[in-house]
Parts: sequence; C-alpha cells; structure tokens
Amino acid sequence: MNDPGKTTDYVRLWTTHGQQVYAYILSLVANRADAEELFQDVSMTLWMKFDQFVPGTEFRAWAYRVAFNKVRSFQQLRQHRTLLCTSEALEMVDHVVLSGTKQLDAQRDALAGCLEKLHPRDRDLIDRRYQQGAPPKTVAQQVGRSVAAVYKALTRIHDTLFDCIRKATAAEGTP
Amino acid sequence: MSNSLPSEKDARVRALTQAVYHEQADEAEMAELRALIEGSREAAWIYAQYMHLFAGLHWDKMHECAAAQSIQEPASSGGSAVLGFLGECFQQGVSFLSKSSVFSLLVAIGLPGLVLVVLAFGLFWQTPREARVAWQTSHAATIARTLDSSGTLGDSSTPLAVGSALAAGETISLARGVVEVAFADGARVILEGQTTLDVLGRNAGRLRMGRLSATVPPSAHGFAIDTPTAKVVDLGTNFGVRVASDQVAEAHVFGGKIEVSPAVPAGAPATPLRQLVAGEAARIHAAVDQTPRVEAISASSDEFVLRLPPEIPRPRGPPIDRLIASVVRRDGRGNNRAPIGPFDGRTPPLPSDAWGLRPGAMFYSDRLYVVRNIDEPLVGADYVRTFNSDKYDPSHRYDVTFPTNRGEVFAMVLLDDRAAKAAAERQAFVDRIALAFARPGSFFDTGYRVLVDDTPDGADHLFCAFGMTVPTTNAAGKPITYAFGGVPRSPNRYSHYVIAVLPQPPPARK
Repeated sequence: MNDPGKTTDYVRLWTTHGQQVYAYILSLVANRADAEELFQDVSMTLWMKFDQFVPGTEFRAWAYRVAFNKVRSFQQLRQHRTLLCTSEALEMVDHVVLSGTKQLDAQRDALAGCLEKLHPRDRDLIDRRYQQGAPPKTVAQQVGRSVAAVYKALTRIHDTLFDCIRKATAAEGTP
Repeated sequence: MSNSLPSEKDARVRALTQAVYHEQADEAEMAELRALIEGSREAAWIYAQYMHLFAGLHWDKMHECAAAQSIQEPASSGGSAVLGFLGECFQQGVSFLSKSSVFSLLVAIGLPGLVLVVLAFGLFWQTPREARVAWQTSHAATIARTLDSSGTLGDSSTPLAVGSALAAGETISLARGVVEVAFADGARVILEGQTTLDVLGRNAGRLRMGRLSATVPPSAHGFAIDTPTAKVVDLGTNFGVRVASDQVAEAHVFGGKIEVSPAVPAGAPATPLRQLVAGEAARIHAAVDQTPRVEAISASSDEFVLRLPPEIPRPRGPPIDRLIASVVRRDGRGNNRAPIGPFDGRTPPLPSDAWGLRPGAMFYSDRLYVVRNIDEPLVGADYVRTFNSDKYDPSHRYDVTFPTNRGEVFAMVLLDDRAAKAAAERQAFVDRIALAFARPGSFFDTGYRVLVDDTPDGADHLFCAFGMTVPTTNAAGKPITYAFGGVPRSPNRYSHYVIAVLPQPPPARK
C-alpha cells in the first residue's frame, strides 16, 4: 500500500479501535501473552488487507472478524489447552462482546475515573502490576508481601474496579 | 444483557475468570468456567467484561514499552536499524516475519513493501512521545530521569527534561538535583548536582566537575569517563567518579573492575595503566614535574548515588492547595547530599510534591527517600522537606507560617519511629520539637503512619504522625510563625522528622 492517505486512514482507525480489538482477542484467548501475539498478527493482516477495506463501513467489525478467524486457527493449533476450546464457548463470548460493544466502550471510558477512586495503597499495587508491568512475584518483593497476598489483593481490587465501572455505566443499558 | 445470575454463581464466574487470567486455574476450574460460559449468556457477559477490564489496565503499558525499549536498546545493539529504531516491543510485533510461512509473502511484496509496512507499524505503535524517543536513538545520550533537578543542556540554556537528547559534544550542567543519563550504547550514569558532564559519544563522557556513578552492561564494555587528571575505562563494572574543585579526581569501584590512566603533560612519558577492582579506589592528582601522583584509597559507595528510588506515576487529579505559606530554615547543618547537593545551615528546603504526601513523593531535601505507603487520611497533606542532616544539630529550627485565609490548620510532626520505641519517649521528642509554641502533650499521636522507602540506603522506615490544630493568625490578624525546633541528641541519631499540614484533623483512628 503506497498511498500515504491510506496509511494515515489506517493509523487513525487503528489507534481508535486498537484497544477494543485487543480486549476482544483477550476475551477469546484468556491469556495475555497469546493475546498480544495474536493482536500483532491481526494488526499486520489488517494492514496488508487494508486495500480491501471499504471506507464508510465498520472498521471494528471487520477487525473483529479477522481476529475471530485468527483466534480459531490458533485454538485449533492449541487443541484443548485453552479456556474457550469449544465452538460453543468461543461463539458465546464473541456474541456477547459484539452485542455489548456500546457498554464495553463506556466501561473502558469509565475505568480512569474508577482508578482515581481506589485507595492509594490499592492504586499503588495496580500501578506496579500494570503501569510498571511487574509480575506478581516482583510486586510482592517490592511491597514486602507474599505472592499469595498480592494475588488476593489484586483479585479484590479487580472486583472493586469491576463494580465501579458497571455502576458508572449503568445508564448505558444492557446489550 | 442484565446480570441476572444468582449471586453465588455470579461470584463463582468472577473468581474463576480472575484465576484463569492470573494463570492460577487448574484444568477442572477451566472446564467449570467453560461450562458456565457455554450455558449462560450472563456468565459469558461477566467473563467478557472482566477481560475487557484487564485489557484496559495493561493497554497503556503495552504502548509505553516501545518507547522505553528504544532508549534502553538502541539500534546498534542488534537487529536492523529500522527494527531497532522502532524498539523491542515492535520487534516482538513483527517477530513472525521470521516464520517461513510469511517469508515467502514478504519476498513477494519485496523489500520496499516491507519497509512501508514496517514504517506504518511504527506510526501506529508510536505516540508523539515514542516517535520523539525513537528519533533520539540517533543521538549519543538521552536524559532518562530527573529528580529535583535544575540545570541546562549544551550552550543554549535548554532546561533539563526527561527525553532530551544529547549529541556528541553537548554538555549537561546540573546545578541541583539528580539526573540519570542513558548513553546510546547502554551505559547508565547518575549525576548529582553540582556536576558538569560533556557527552563525548555513544559510550564516553568527560566529567569536568562534580560526581557520577555508572552502571555499565556488557553491551557498553569500554565505556569511558575522562577527567582533568585521568581517564577511567570500564572493564565490566559499577563505578563512581568524582572531580573536586581543585581538579583532583577520584575513581571508586563497586563491582567488576576499571582501568585508570593518569593524564600526563604533552611530551611526558605515559604512565602505566592501573586496574582497580571492587572495593578499591584511587585519587589522581595533577601531574607535577611531568609525573602524576596516584593515591590508593578505599572505595566509598556512601558518597555516590548508585540507585534511584522507584518511580511512581503522578496522580491524575489536580495538585493540592498549598497549606504552608512560608518556611525559613535556621542554624541547620551543612552537607553535600542528593538531591539538593551542597547546602549550608540556611539553605531553604526543596519544594514539596505538588500532590502533597502520596506514594512516590520525595520526603527530605537531602536524601533520596520517597513515601512508599501512607495511611489514607494523610494523603495529600502539604509538607516541608526538612533536611535529614539536621538531626545532628539540635539547635536547628524551621519557622513555618500557614495561609491566613484559613482560620486553623492541623499541623503535624512526622517522627521517625526509630527515635524511640516507647510511646512516652516519642511524645517527649515531639514535645521538644514543638516546645516554642505548644505545651507538652498538645501534639498527640494520631495513630496514622507513613512508610518511607530509602531504597538507596537499603531499608524502609515508619514515621508516626503527631498533630494539633493551630490558628494561622494572631488577634491582630497577622500570621503566626511556628518554630519547629531540633530534636534532642539521640544515641542512635535517627531521630529526625518532617513537618506536615492538613486542612483539618484526620478522623480518629479506629
């Protein structure tokens, strides 16, 4: 693709929808490392096929289709070692994400506000784990707690954030 | 889709989803979650929302790594220039290029196509900051981090800022604070004000005055620091170099070894190289009668900043309203410690954190200690970054005033709990500090604590918050000056404190 205008269009669309495409892939594979690898694979495929994309049509829907096919191929390679290894489970998650796009976008936007509301100690733990990218073992060493205690705390904080973003976006209705 | 799952099942889906994401679930739990998802749209919806939450939490980090890696692993350290330019994270992104299945496709596209693809990837992976940092890898060094710093880059009086790139021949003039410089070949150097360093290239610098510590990875083997009296060359190590105002240089080795070659006047015979290993140091004087004098001394890691405290992101909200109107320090102890650098008994404290006390806030003016954890009611308190060195001088004083538009504030003394373990003894310390304006016992222990991380020195310490409500003005409406005095001499000499202020008393601790 040599057209600079196309390149700009692609970059604009990808930076707009990339996070939710990544989240969709993560929902299908339930593993961060696998999701990142597939995300990069999907982004390369979309770029190579961008000439086929029709402006004005739904870019994210197209990206989801490409991602779904990539994930299905990936699952076949992994056989039964993934969470959503059955077509029923995979298609159920695909269905709820596609029909809940509006709510999921609203929840994404609400996350920053919910992070602000966390207790500083909880916020610190989240920052260490996600912003600084430290694995739980490292976080445990940094904060002087056991690994099990860090997992327990992260689980509790995730639940707090989950309840917060759902409450914040309750007005969005249901899919 | 409503969340109509029975609460027990709802909780189970949540727990299993988190266990799967943390890679803590066994086969049976995976099967259980799979069955729940297959059998219930509500369960699938909860699961999907959690996964989107996790994606949102680490999305920023995914984008950030490209920039960070482009600093740490420049193009020359391996891989093609283009891929190196884009950083390791991006390289991971295109790692599948090595797979034979796509190799043939790329051959079909041809090299120009590949370059276009790569450049386009670079565009969408890179935010403006990332693009800027990648550009900087063509330079010799980059400012990687600053703490309380003031100074300039080059001759243009460009202020020091994180991300600033330096070309060979440019100078860093650090008046105050601490700066970490990442050289392009991988060496990382911590400068302490007052220091002047010329960047000579991707793997070399000249220390004109001041002090630095260097951490040199294998990729930067041979990293060199020139000084007026000697050249120090790394042979795989951590070392410190200091140049005093009389141009005498010192080289201290903390790990591995270095090679020191004393400078000699033109025409004089070269002096033998000296190798120093961990624990050794040398002081190199200017040559007299064409012969440099080299003195063996012991390495002193206490005199250099070898590590920086952990970096914690700033809060997203606005800075606090200041509750300290003025601070005058009197009769303190002089010293030369990071981050403030050289100071005397009247040097004013460094500015406190704009968001007040919080995890990550710098605590003292003359130590690189940061707040690691803090009880919630104290978060956001304004504070004075006192000088830890004043603990050696009981006669010192901090005269503090508070904003007169507030009738009262809650003034606090955060006392290092090593001052005394018994509650009565601590109370006596605080009474002594507030002796000039408060009757003994007026400052009471709130029960709240601040945990301070002194990573560079290797331990964490707890500070106890004592406080009392005080008026800000006298009967004439003039501001009241509160004199916080020195602490009694203590056998263990760890008895220092920080002054802090809240708008009102914190709730009683349960």
